[in-house]
Amino acid sequence: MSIDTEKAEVIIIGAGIAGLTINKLLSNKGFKTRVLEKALKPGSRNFYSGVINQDTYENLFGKIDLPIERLVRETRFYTLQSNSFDALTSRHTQENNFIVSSELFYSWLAKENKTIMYESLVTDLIVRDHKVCGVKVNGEEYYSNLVVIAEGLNPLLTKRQGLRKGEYTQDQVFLFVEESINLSSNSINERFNLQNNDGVAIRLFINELFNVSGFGYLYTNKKSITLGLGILLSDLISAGTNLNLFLEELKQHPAIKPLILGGTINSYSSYTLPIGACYGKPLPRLCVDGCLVIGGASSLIDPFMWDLSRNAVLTAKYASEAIIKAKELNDYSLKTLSSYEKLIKENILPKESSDKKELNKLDNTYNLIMNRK
Amino acid sequence: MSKTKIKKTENQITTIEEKLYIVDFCPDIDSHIKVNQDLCLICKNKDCTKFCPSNVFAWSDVDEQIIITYENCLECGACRMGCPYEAIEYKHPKAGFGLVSN
Repeated sequence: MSIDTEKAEVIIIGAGIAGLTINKLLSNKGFKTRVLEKALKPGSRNFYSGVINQDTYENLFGKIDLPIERLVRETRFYTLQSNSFDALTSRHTQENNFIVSSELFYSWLAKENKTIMYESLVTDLIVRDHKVCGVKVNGEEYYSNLVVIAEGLNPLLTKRQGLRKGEYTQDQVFLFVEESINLSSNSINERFNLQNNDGVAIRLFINELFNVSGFGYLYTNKKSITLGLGILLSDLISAGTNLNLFLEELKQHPAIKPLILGGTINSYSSYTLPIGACYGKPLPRLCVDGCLVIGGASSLIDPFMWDLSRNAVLTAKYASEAIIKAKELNDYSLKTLSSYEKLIKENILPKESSDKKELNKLDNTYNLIMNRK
Repeated sequence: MSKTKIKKTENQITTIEEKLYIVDFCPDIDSHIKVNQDLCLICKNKDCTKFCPSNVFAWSDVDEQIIITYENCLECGACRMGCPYEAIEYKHPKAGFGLVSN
Protein backbone atom coordinates (compact mmCIF):
# COMPACT_ATOMS: atom_id res chain seq x y z
CA MET A 1 0.00 0.00 0.00
CA SER A 2 1.36 3.38 -0.93
CA ILE A 3 1.14 5.90 1.88
CA ASP A 4 0.11 9.32 0.69
CA THR A 5 -0.42 11.67 3.58
CA GLU A 6 -1.73 14.48 1.41
CA LYS A 7 -5.43 14.97 1.98
CA ALA A 8 -7.67 13.99 -0.92
CA GLU A 9 -10.62 16.22 -1.78
CA VAL A 10 -12.83 13.21 -2.42
CA ILE A 11 -12.49 9.69 -1.07
CA ILE A 12 -14.34 7.03 -3.07
CA ILE A 13 -15.11 3.72 -1.36
CA GLY A 14 -15.09 0.88 -3.87
CA ALA A 15 -13.50 0.36 -7.30
CA GLY A 16 -16.58 -1.07 -9.00
CA ILE A 17 -18.38 0.44 -11.96
CA ALA A 18 -19.90 3.35 -10.02
CA GLY A 19 -16.75 4.17 -8.06
CA LEU A 20 -14.46 4.03 -11.09
CA THR A 21 -16.88 6.07 -13.19
CA ILE A 22 -17.16 8.90 -10.67
CA ASN A 23 -13.40 8.79 -10.17
CA LYS A 24 -12.89 9.28 -13.91
CA LEU A 25 -15.43 12.12 -14.01
CA LEU A 26 -13.99 13.95 -11.02
CA SER A 27 -10.35 13.42 -12.04
CA ASN A 28 -11.16 14.89 -15.44
CA LYS A 29 -12.40 17.99 -13.62
CA GLY A 30 -9.14 18.31 -11.71
CA PHE A 31 -10.29 16.86 -8.40
CA LYS A 32 -7.75 15.17 -6.18
CA THR A 33 -9.41 11.81 -5.53
CA ARG A 34 -8.50 8.61 -3.79
CA VAL A 35 -10.29 5.29 -4.45
CA LEU A 36 -10.16 2.68 -1.69
CA GLU A 37 -10.75 -0.90 -2.83
CA LYS A 38 -10.82 -3.85 -0.45
CA ALA A 39 -9.68 -6.39 -3.05
CA LEU A 40 -6.47 -6.76 -5.03
CA LYS A 41 -7.83 -5.32 -8.26
CA PRO A 42 -10.75 -3.28 -9.62
CA GLY A 43 -14.18 -4.86 -9.87
CA SER A 44 -12.88 -7.88 -8.07
CA ARG A 45 -15.99 -8.82 -6.19
CA ASN A 46 -18.68 -7.21 -8.27
CA PHE A 47 -17.83 -9.04 -11.49
CA TYR A 48 -20.00 -7.72 -14.24
CA SER A 49 -21.95 -10.01 -16.42
CA GLY A 50 -24.38 -8.39 -18.68
CA VAL A 51 -24.92 -6.20 -21.62
CA ILE A 52 -23.13 -2.88 -21.83
CA ASN A 53 -24.84 -0.12 -23.72
CA GLN A 54 -22.10 1.90 -25.38
CA ASP A 55 -24.16 5.11 -25.33
CA THR A 56 -24.25 5.03 -21.50
CA TYR A 57 -20.47 5.49 -21.48
CA GLU A 58 -20.02 7.60 -24.62
CA ASN A 59 -22.47 10.17 -23.23
CA LEU A 60 -19.98 10.68 -20.40
CA PHE A 61 -16.56 10.05 -21.87
CA GLY A 62 -16.94 10.69 -25.60
CA LYS A 63 -15.82 8.09 -28.12
CA ILE A 64 -14.57 4.97 -26.34
CA ASP A 65 -13.09 1.62 -27.24
CA LEU A 66 -14.88 -1.04 -25.20
CA PRO A 67 -13.21 -4.46 -24.69
CA ILE A 68 -15.88 -6.24 -26.71
CA GLU A 69 -16.51 -9.97 -26.52
CA ARG A 70 -19.44 -9.93 -28.90
CA LEU A 71 -22.00 -7.51 -30.30
CA VAL A 72 -25.57 -8.13 -29.11
CA ARG A 73 -27.08 -8.92 -32.51
CA GLU A 74 -30.12 -10.63 -31.02
CA THR A 75 -32.01 -10.45 -27.78
CA ARG A 76 -34.08 -13.53 -27.11
CA PHE A 77 -36.82 -14.24 -24.59
CA TYR A 78 -37.44 -17.85 -23.65
CA THR A 79 -40.47 -18.76 -21.57
CA LEU A 80 -39.77 -22.18 -20.12
CA GLN A 81 -42.37 -24.83 -19.34
CA SER A 82 -41.69 -28.23 -17.88
CA ASN A 83 -40.54 -29.86 -21.11
CA SER A 84 -40.90 -27.16 -23.74
CA PHE A 85 -40.37 -23.45 -24.28
CA ASP A 86 -41.65 -20.46 -26.24
CA ALA A 87 -39.05 -18.25 -27.87
CA LEU A 88 -39.18 -14.67 -29.06
CA THR A 89 -36.25 -13.13 -30.90
CA SER A 90 -35.48 -9.51 -31.67
CA ARG A 91 -32.75 -8.86 -34.21
CA HIS A 92 -30.94 -5.54 -33.92
CA THR A 93 -29.49 -3.49 -36.71
CA GLN A 94 -28.19 -0.85 -34.32
CA GLU A 95 -24.74 -1.76 -33.07
CA ASN A 96 -24.54 -0.20 -29.63
CA ASN A 97 -25.07 -3.06 -27.15
CA PHE A 98 -22.15 -5.30 -26.32
CA ILE A 99 -21.21 -8.26 -24.22
CA VAL A 100 -17.87 -7.24 -22.75
CA SER A 101 -15.09 -9.04 -20.96
CA SER A 102 -15.64 -7.93 -17.38
CA GLU A 103 -11.96 -8.10 -16.48
CA LEU A 104 -10.89 -5.96 -19.43
CA PHE A 105 -13.85 -3.67 -18.88
CA TYR A 106 -12.70 -2.91 -15.35
CA SER A 107 -9.12 -2.43 -16.52
CA TRP A 108 -10.45 0.06 -19.05
CA LEU A 109 -12.42 1.94 -16.37
CA ALA A 110 -9.38 1.95 -14.06
CA LYS A 111 -6.88 2.82 -16.81
CA GLU A 112 -4.34 5.58 -16.20
CA ASN A 113 -5.58 5.70 -12.69
CA LYS A 114 -2.96 6.18 -10.05
CA THR A 115 -5.35 7.07 -7.26
CA ILE A 116 -6.65 3.55 -6.49
CA MET A 117 -5.41 1.92 -3.31
CA TYR A 118 -6.02 -1.81 -3.15
CA GLU A 119 -6.34 -4.08 -0.12
CA SER A 120 -7.98 -1.14 1.63
CA LEU A 121 -11.14 -2.15 3.44
CA VAL A 122 -13.05 0.80 4.88
CA THR A 123 -14.42 -0.27 8.24
CA ASP A 124 -15.95 3.03 9.37
CA LEU A 125 -16.68 6.56 8.40
CA ILE A 126 -15.20 9.33 10.56
CA VAL A 127 -18.01 11.62 11.66
CA ARG A 128 -17.39 14.92 13.45
CA ASP A 129 -20.08 17.44 14.38
CA HIS A 130 -22.58 15.34 12.39
CA LYS A 131 -20.43 15.71 9.28
CA VAL A 132 -18.62 12.89 7.52
CA CYS A 133 -14.99 13.97 7.21
CA GLY A 134 -13.05 10.80 6.43
CA VAL A 135 -12.75 7.03 6.66
CA LYS A 136 -10.99 4.40 8.71
CA VAL A 137 -8.97 1.93 6.62
CA ASN A 138 -6.98 -0.98 8.02
CA GLY A 139 -6.67 0.92 11.30
CA GLU A 140 -5.54 4.17 9.67
CA GLU A 141 -7.52 7.37 9.25
CA TYR A 142 -7.91 9.24 5.97
CA TYR A 143 -9.52 12.65 5.78
CA SER A 144 -11.28 14.38 2.91
CA ASN A 145 -13.81 17.09 2.12
CA LEU A 146 -16.21 14.48 0.85
CA VAL A 147 -16.71 10.70 0.97
CA VAL A 148 -18.50 8.86 -1.84
CA ILE A 149 -19.77 5.41 -0.85
CA ALA A 150 -19.72 3.10 -3.88
CA GLU A 151 -19.50 -0.16 -1.95
CA GLY A 152 -21.70 -2.18 -4.29
CA LEU A 153 -24.47 -4.73 -3.96
CA ASN A 154 -23.45 -6.15 -0.59
CA PRO A 155 -23.56 -2.82 1.24
CA LEU A 156 -22.54 -3.11 4.87
CA LEU A 157 -21.25 0.41 5.47
CA THR A 158 -24.47 2.19 4.47
CA LYS A 159 -26.38 -0.03 6.87
CA ARG A 160 -23.97 0.46 9.74
CA GLN A 161 -23.99 4.22 9.26
CA GLY A 162 -27.80 4.20 9.42
CA LEU A 163 -28.23 5.42 5.83
CA ARG A 164 -30.26 2.30 5.07
CA LYS A 165 -32.88 1.13 7.53
CA GLY A 166 -32.26 -2.55 8.20
CA GLU A 167 -31.63 -5.20 5.60
CA TYR A 168 -33.56 -5.69 2.39
CA THR A 169 -36.50 -7.99 3.08
CA GLN A 170 -36.51 -11.53 1.69
CA ASP A 171 -39.31 -10.74 -0.76
CA GLN A 172 -37.33 -7.78 -2.06
CA VAL A 173 -34.09 -9.43 -3.04
CA PHE A 174 -33.05 -11.89 -5.76
CA LEU A 175 -30.30 -14.37 -5.04
CA PHE A 176 -28.29 -15.27 -8.14
CA VAL A 177 -25.83 -17.97 -9.04
CA GLU A 178 -23.82 -17.68 -12.20
CA GLU A 179 -21.52 -19.94 -14.16
CA SER A 180 -19.34 -19.38 -17.10
CA ILE A 181 -19.02 -22.35 -19.42
CA ASN A 182 -16.15 -22.68 -21.90
CA LEU A 183 -16.99 -23.62 -25.49
CA SER A 184 -15.18 -23.03 -28.77
CA SER A 185 -16.26 -19.97 -30.71
CA ASN A 186 -17.21 -22.24 -33.62
CA SER A 187 -19.59 -24.23 -31.41
CA ILE A 188 -21.12 -21.01 -30.12
CA ASN A 189 -21.60 -19.61 -33.63
CA GLU A 190 -23.19 -22.86 -34.84
CA ARG A 191 -25.46 -23.41 -31.86
CA PHE A 192 -26.73 -19.85 -31.75
CA ASN A 193 -26.71 -19.32 -35.52
CA LEU A 194 -24.23 -16.45 -35.33
CA GLN A 195 -21.57 -15.03 -37.58
CA ASN A 196 -18.20 -13.58 -36.68
CA ASN A 197 -18.43 -11.47 -33.54
CA ASP A 198 -22.21 -11.35 -33.35
CA GLY A 199 -23.71 -12.56 -30.09
CA VAL A 200 -26.99 -13.06 -28.27
CA ALA A 201 -28.38 -12.11 -24.90
CA ILE A 202 -31.20 -14.34 -23.67
CA ARG A 203 -33.64 -13.72 -20.86
CA LEU A 204 -35.18 -16.84 -19.37
CA PHE A 205 -38.61 -16.65 -17.79
CA ILE A 206 -38.75 -19.54 -15.37
CA ASN A 207 -41.72 -18.98 -13.08
CA GLU A 208 -43.93 -21.52 -14.87
CA LEU A 209 -41.14 -24.07 -14.73
CA PHE A 210 -40.14 -23.66 -11.10
CA ASN A 211 -43.23 -21.94 -9.66
CA VAL A 212 -41.12 -19.18 -8.14
CA SER A 213 -40.41 -15.51 -8.90
CA GLY A 214 -37.18 -15.18 -10.75
CA PHE A 215 -35.40 -15.21 -14.07
CA GLY A 216 -32.37 -16.55 -15.79
CA TYR A 217 -30.02 -15.15 -18.40
CA LEU A 218 -27.56 -16.42 -20.94
CA TYR A 219 -24.90 -14.40 -22.74
CA THR A 220 -22.53 -15.52 -25.45
CA ASN A 221 -18.96 -14.42 -24.88
CA LYS A 222 -16.24 -15.06 -27.46
CA LYS A 223 -15.32 -18.52 -26.22
CA SER A 224 -17.68 -19.09 -23.33
CA ILE A 225 -21.27 -18.81 -22.23
CA THR A 226 -22.46 -17.02 -19.13
CA LEU A 227 -25.49 -18.67 -17.55
CA GLY A 228 -27.18 -17.18 -14.50
CA LEU A 229 -30.30 -17.80 -12.47
CA GLY A 230 -31.90 -15.59 -9.85
CA ILE A 231 -34.79 -16.47 -7.55
CA LEU A 232 -36.53 -14.23 -5.05
CA LEU A 233 -35.02 -15.14 -1.69
CA SER A 234 -38.41 -15.61 0.00
CA ASP A 235 -39.51 -18.04 -2.74
CA LEU A 236 -36.22 -19.90 -2.58
CA ILE A 237 -36.58 -20.33 1.19
CA SER A 238 -40.21 -21.51 0.80
CA ALA A 239 -39.07 -24.04 -1.81
CA GLY A 240 -36.47 -25.31 0.66
CA THR A 241 -34.13 -26.16 -2.22
CA ASN A 242 -30.68 -24.86 -2.98
CA LEU A 243 -30.33 -22.48 -5.91
CA ASN A 244 -27.61 -24.67 -7.40
CA LEU A 245 -30.12 -27.51 -7.80
CA PHE A 246 -32.45 -25.17 -9.69
CA LEU A 247 -29.52 -24.14 -11.87
CA GLU A 248 -28.62 -27.76 -12.59
CA GLU A 249 -32.25 -28.49 -13.47
CA LEU A 250 -32.22 -25.47 -15.78
CA LYS A 251 -29.11 -26.83 -17.47
CA GLN A 252 -31.01 -30.06 -18.24
CA HIS A 253 -33.93 -28.19 -19.80
CA PRO A 254 -34.39 -28.69 -23.59
CA ALA A 255 -34.04 -24.93 -24.12
CA ILE A 256 -30.59 -24.82 -22.51
CA LYS A 257 -29.04 -28.29 -22.65
CA PRO A 258 -28.14 -28.33 -26.37
CA LEU A 259 -26.59 -24.86 -26.08
CA ILE A 260 -24.10 -25.77 -23.36
CA LEU A 261 -23.50 -29.43 -24.21
CA GLY A 262 -19.88 -30.52 -23.76
CA GLY A 263 -18.86 -27.19 -22.22
CA THR A 264 -16.54 -26.90 -19.23
CA ILE A 265 -17.47 -24.81 -16.22
CA ASN A 266 -14.73 -22.30 -15.46
CA SER A 267 -16.36 -20.14 -12.82
CA TYR A 268 -19.10 -20.27 -10.21
CA SER A 269 -20.23 -17.17 -8.35
CA SER A 270 -23.14 -15.70 -6.47
CA TYR A 271 -24.62 -12.27 -5.78
CA THR A 272 -27.80 -10.58 -4.61
CA LEU A 273 -29.81 -7.87 -6.37
CA PRO A 274 -32.57 -5.98 -4.58
CA ILE A 275 -35.78 -4.75 -6.15
CA GLY A 276 -35.14 -1.25 -4.94
CA ALA A 277 -36.30 2.30 -5.30
CA CYS A 278 -37.02 1.90 -9.03
CA TYR A 279 -39.99 -0.25 -8.01
CA GLY A 280 -41.44 1.88 -5.26
CA LYS A 281 -39.29 0.61 -2.37
CA PRO A 282 -37.95 3.27 -0.01
CA LEU A 283 -34.85 5.09 -1.20
CA PRO A 284 -31.99 4.92 1.31
CA ARG A 285 -30.49 8.23 2.40
CA LEU A 286 -28.20 9.06 -0.49
CA CYS A 287 -26.86 12.35 0.92
CA VAL A 288 -25.71 13.45 4.33
CA ASP A 289 -23.27 16.19 5.32
CA GLY A 290 -20.00 15.32 3.65
CA CYS A 291 -21.11 12.03 2.08
CA LEU A 292 -22.96 10.61 -0.95
CA VAL A 293 -24.06 7.04 -1.80
CA ILE A 294 -23.88 5.84 -5.42
CA GLY A 295 -24.06 2.62 -7.47
CA GLY A 296 -25.32 -0.70 -6.12
CA ALA A 297 -25.45 0.59 -2.55
CA SER A 298 -28.05 3.17 -3.63
CA SER A 299 -30.55 0.34 -4.34
CA LEU A 300 -31.14 1.97 -7.72
CA ILE A 301 -29.85 -0.89 -9.86
CA ASP A 302 -32.83 -2.13 -11.87
CA PRO A 303 -32.58 -5.95 -11.83
CA PHE A 304 -34.81 -6.23 -14.89
CA MET A 305 -32.64 -4.15 -17.24
CA TRP A 306 -30.26 -5.65 -19.78
CA ASP A 307 -27.53 -3.17 -18.92
CA LEU A 308 -27.28 -3.44 -15.14
CA SER A 309 -24.46 -0.90 -15.13
CA ARG A 310 -26.62 1.89 -16.55
CA ASN A 311 -28.12 3.16 -13.30
CA ALA A 312 -24.80 2.76 -11.49
CA VAL A 313 -23.18 5.00 -14.09
CA LEU A 314 -26.06 7.49 -13.90
CA THR A 315 -25.78 7.78 -10.11
CA ALA A 316 -22.05 8.47 -10.59
CA LYS A 317 -22.85 11.14 -13.18
CA TYR A 318 -25.43 12.97 -11.05
CA ALA A 319 -23.29 12.71 -7.93
CA SER A 320 -20.34 14.20 -9.81
CA GLU A 321 -22.52 17.14 -10.91
CA ALA A 322 -23.53 17.79 -7.30
CA ILE A 323 -19.90 17.51 -6.15
CA ILE A 324 -18.65 19.95 -8.79
CA LYS A 325 -21.29 22.44 -7.60
CA ALA A 326 -20.32 21.83 -3.98
CA LYS A 327 -16.68 22.59 -4.77
CA GLU A 328 -17.60 25.85 -6.52
CA LEU A 329 -19.52 26.94 -3.44
CA ASN A 330 -16.92 25.38 -1.12
CA ASP A 331 -19.82 23.83 0.75
CA TYR A 332 -20.01 20.06 1.14
CA SER A 333 -23.00 20.18 3.45
CA LEU A 334 -26.26 18.37 2.84
CA LYS A 335 -27.76 21.65 1.65
CA THR A 336 -25.62 21.69 -1.50
CA LEU A 337 -25.24 17.93 -1.94
CA SER A 338 -28.97 17.27 -1.86
CA SER A 339 -29.11 18.41 -5.51
CA TYR A 340 -27.86 14.85 -6.17
CA GLU A 341 -31.02 13.31 -4.71
CA LYS A 342 -33.10 15.77 -6.71
CA LEU A 343 -31.38 14.67 -9.94
CA ILE A 344 -31.98 11.00 -9.03
CA LYS A 345 -35.68 11.64 -8.45
CA GLU A 346 -36.01 13.56 -11.70
CA ASN A 347 -34.01 11.24 -13.92
CA ILE A 348 -33.84 7.69 -12.55
CA LEU A 349 -36.93 7.03 -10.46
CA PRO A 350 -40.13 6.43 -12.45
CA LYS A 351 -42.40 9.46 -12.48
CA GLU A 352 -45.80 8.79 -11.04
CA SER A 353 -47.90 11.23 -13.05
CA SER A 354 -46.43 11.19 -16.56
CA ASP A 355 -44.66 8.35 -18.37
CA LYS A 356 -47.60 5.96 -18.05
CA LYS A 357 -46.33 4.08 -21.08
CA GLU A 358 -42.92 3.62 -19.50
CA LEU A 359 -44.49 2.24 -16.31
CA ASN A 360 -46.61 -0.22 -18.28
CA LYS A 361 -43.55 -1.45 -20.08
CA LEU A 362 -41.85 -2.00 -16.74
CA ASP A 363 -44.93 -3.77 -15.45
CA ASN A 364 -44.79 -6.29 -18.27
CA THR A 365 -41.27 -7.47 -17.50
CA TYR A 366 -42.07 -7.34 -13.82
CA ASN A 367 -45.17 -9.52 -14.29
CA LEU A 368 -43.29 -12.08 -16.35
CA ILE A 369 -40.67 -12.43 -13.65
CA MET A 370 -42.80 -12.24 -10.52
CA ASN A 371 -44.82 -15.33 -9.74
CA ARG A 372 -48.37 -14.34 -8.86
CA LYS A 373 -49.85 -17.76 -8.27
CA MET B 1 -0.17 -15.61 1.92
CA SER B 2 -0.70 -18.95 0.24
CA LYS B 3 -3.20 -19.37 -2.54
CA THR B 4 -4.24 -22.77 -3.73
CA LYS B 5 -5.76 -23.27 -7.12
CA ILE B 6 -7.18 -26.52 -8.37
CA LYS B 7 -8.60 -26.61 -11.87
CA LYS B 8 -10.84 -29.49 -12.77
CA THR B 9 -11.10 -30.38 -16.41
CA GLU B 10 -13.86 -32.93 -16.07
CA ASN B 11 -17.16 -31.93 -17.64
CA GLN B 12 -19.59 -33.24 -15.08
CA ILE B 13 -19.35 -30.65 -12.37
CA THR B 14 -22.78 -30.41 -10.80
CA THR B 15 -22.63 -30.19 -7.01
CA ILE B 16 -21.73 -27.13 -4.98
CA GLU B 17 -18.72 -28.94 -3.54
CA GLU B 18 -17.42 -29.69 -7.04
CA LYS B 19 -18.04 -26.12 -8.15
CA LEU B 20 -16.19 -24.67 -5.18
CA TYR B 21 -13.04 -26.43 -6.42
CA ILE B 22 -12.87 -24.01 -9.36
CA VAL B 23 -13.25 -20.91 -7.14
CA ASP B 24 -10.13 -19.25 -5.76
CA PHE B 25 -10.18 -18.45 -2.07
CA CYS B 26 -7.61 -16.97 0.24
CA PRO B 27 -9.18 -17.77 3.60
CA ASP B 28 -8.46 -15.78 6.74
CA ILE B 29 -7.71 -17.54 10.03
CA ASP B 30 -10.77 -15.92 11.60
CA SER B 31 -14.29 -16.24 10.28
CA HIS B 32 -15.95 -13.13 8.84
CA ILE B 33 -19.32 -14.75 9.62
CA LYS B 34 -20.62 -15.30 13.12
CA VAL B 35 -23.94 -16.71 14.29
CA ASN B 36 -25.82 -16.43 17.54
CA GLN B 37 -25.99 -20.14 18.42
CA ASP B 38 -28.68 -19.56 21.08
CA LEU B 39 -31.02 -18.44 18.33
CA CYS B 40 -29.92 -21.29 16.03
CA LEU B 41 -30.97 -23.75 18.74
CA ILE B 42 -34.56 -22.51 18.73
CA CYS B 43 -34.68 -22.06 14.92
CA LYS B 44 -36.76 -24.88 13.45
CA ASN B 45 -36.14 -24.69 9.71
CA LYS B 46 -32.48 -23.71 9.65
CA ASP B 47 -33.02 -22.11 6.25
CA CYS B 48 -29.40 -20.99 6.02
CA THR B 49 -28.32 -24.62 5.68
CA LYS B 50 -30.46 -24.89 2.53
CA PHE B 51 -30.32 -21.61 0.60
CA CYS B 52 -26.66 -20.62 0.94
CA PRO B 53 -25.22 -21.09 -2.57
CA SER B 54 -21.93 -22.41 -1.22
CA ASN B 55 -23.19 -24.46 1.73
CA VAL B 56 -21.37 -22.35 4.31
CA PHE B 57 -23.84 -23.35 7.04
CA ALA B 58 -24.43 -26.87 8.32
CA TRP B 59 -26.21 -28.11 11.43
CA SER B 60 -24.30 -30.50 13.64
CA ASP B 61 -26.60 -32.82 15.60
CA VAL B 62 -23.71 -33.89 17.77
CA ASP B 63 -22.62 -30.41 18.79
CA GLU B 64 -26.12 -28.94 18.51
CA GLN B 65 -24.82 -25.94 16.70
CA ILE B 66 -24.30 -24.40 13.28
CA ILE B 67 -20.92 -25.17 11.76
CA ILE B 68 -19.67 -22.29 9.62
CA THR B 69 -17.43 -23.16 6.67
CA TYR B 70 -16.64 -19.48 6.05
CA GLU B 71 -13.72 -20.50 3.82
CA ASN B 72 -16.27 -21.35 1.09
CA CYS B 73 -18.19 -18.06 1.26
CA LEU B 74 -19.03 -16.51 -2.13
CA GLU B 75 -19.76 -13.20 -0.37
CA CYS B 76 -23.27 -12.69 -1.76
CA GLY B 77 -24.67 -11.47 1.56
CA ALA B 78 -27.93 -13.46 1.27
CA CYS B 79 -27.47 -15.06 4.70
CA ARG B 80 -28.01 -11.73 6.46
CA MET B 81 -31.38 -11.30 4.77
CA GLY B 82 -32.36 -14.96 4.78
CA CYS B 83 -32.00 -15.61 8.51
CA PRO B 84 -35.44 -15.18 10.13
CA TYR B 85 -33.84 -14.45 13.52
CA GLU B 86 -31.24 -12.00 12.23
CA ALA B 87 -28.77 -14.25 14.00
CA ILE B 88 -26.06 -14.02 11.34
CA GLU B 89 -23.43 -11.33 11.70
CA TYR B 90 -21.65 -10.86 8.39
CA LYS B 91 -18.58 -8.69 7.83
CA HIS B 92 -16.46 -8.37 4.71
CA PRO B 93 -13.39 -10.58 4.91
CA LYS B 94 -10.31 -8.58 5.86
CA ALA B 95 -8.50 -6.80 3.04
CA GLY B 96 -6.73 -9.31 0.81
CA PHE B 97 -8.70 -12.30 2.15
CA GLY B 98 -11.77 -14.15 1.00
CA LEU B 99 -12.79 -14.56 -2.60
CA VAL B 100 -10.01 -14.03 -5.16
CA SER B 101 -11.12 -12.91 -8.59
CA ASN B 102 -9.81 -14.75 -11.62
